Amino acid sequence: MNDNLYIYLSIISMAVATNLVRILPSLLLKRPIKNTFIRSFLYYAPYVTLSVMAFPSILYSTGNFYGALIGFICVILLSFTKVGMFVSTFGTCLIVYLAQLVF
Amino acid sequence: MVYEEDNKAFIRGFRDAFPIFISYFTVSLAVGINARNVGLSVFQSGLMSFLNLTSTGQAAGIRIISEHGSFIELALSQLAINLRYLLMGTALAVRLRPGQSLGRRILVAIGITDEIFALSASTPKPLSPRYVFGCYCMSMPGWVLGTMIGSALGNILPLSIVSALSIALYAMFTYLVIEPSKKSKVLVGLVIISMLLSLLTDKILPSLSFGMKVIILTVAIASVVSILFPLPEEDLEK
Repeated sequence: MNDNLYIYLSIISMAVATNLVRILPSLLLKRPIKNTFIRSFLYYAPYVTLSVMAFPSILYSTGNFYGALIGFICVILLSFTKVGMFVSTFGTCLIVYLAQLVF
Repeated sequence: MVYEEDNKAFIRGFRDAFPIFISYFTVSLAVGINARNVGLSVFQSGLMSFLNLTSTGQAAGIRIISEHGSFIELALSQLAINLRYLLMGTALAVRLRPGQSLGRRILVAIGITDEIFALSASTPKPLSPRYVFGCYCMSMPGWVLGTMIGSALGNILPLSIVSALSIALYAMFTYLVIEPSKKSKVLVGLVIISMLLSLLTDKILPSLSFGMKVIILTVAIASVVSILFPLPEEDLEK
């Protein structure tokens, strides 16, 4: 398959799946989910997904292991403050930029 | 109850979402850079952002595309990563003023992201669909523009800045799991175990694709934790 066709079909596969998850509840659900296991699963699943995606990939995201390690520690510390997602994310980028000047 | 005029709700949502515009624009620069690195054109990056509007989903998708993964794998990874939209879709559907047409309910659902949901779910009931449309019309262009500019300028920006920006998405994921964990010991344990098993899986099964790893670990760990620590009834609204 040619690369462009593969990419367009990939984008469409993703879009169908993502928007299906968004739309499904308004099509199917007439009342809130009662089943405790399903509710719990839907609640916990995103945390697992995000954690697995974040680590250890974050350590290899910049091409500079020690700079990225400092960034990882930095964003964990910032998450415990009240500065919010925006400052935590871009504060981390700034720290990583500075760390890369050193390492 | 007197309902707010729909036009006013749209403008209110549009205005409320301005911080989302800024945040999406800057975060999506990194998505665009990642997309460029695996060979997507500026148009393809923008189209992906317009049709998907999901940072984590697109990061995983781009990663899978770089490995030439199958369409099933791509779709399953989006289902796993964006399962939370099921909960958000459910919560928003319950908040909407009754009697909305199917078309409007679907349009509201397509606008669901973590940030738009956070705004929409914190406005007083009943929720006007136009409020969500307003949020969407402000936020989505930030996401698409940022992606396209990141994709176009990816190799023009100095390498040191691109490198530092490349950690932005991963930093955001980390923030999104650590910040809510402050209030729950179960979540702290869940996050730590997930990260350790992710590292362990890389060591033991280096040939397993990224998308499959995400799906398998999500289903396995979330199932075990749901059995061990089922949510109490009062968390139903979350």
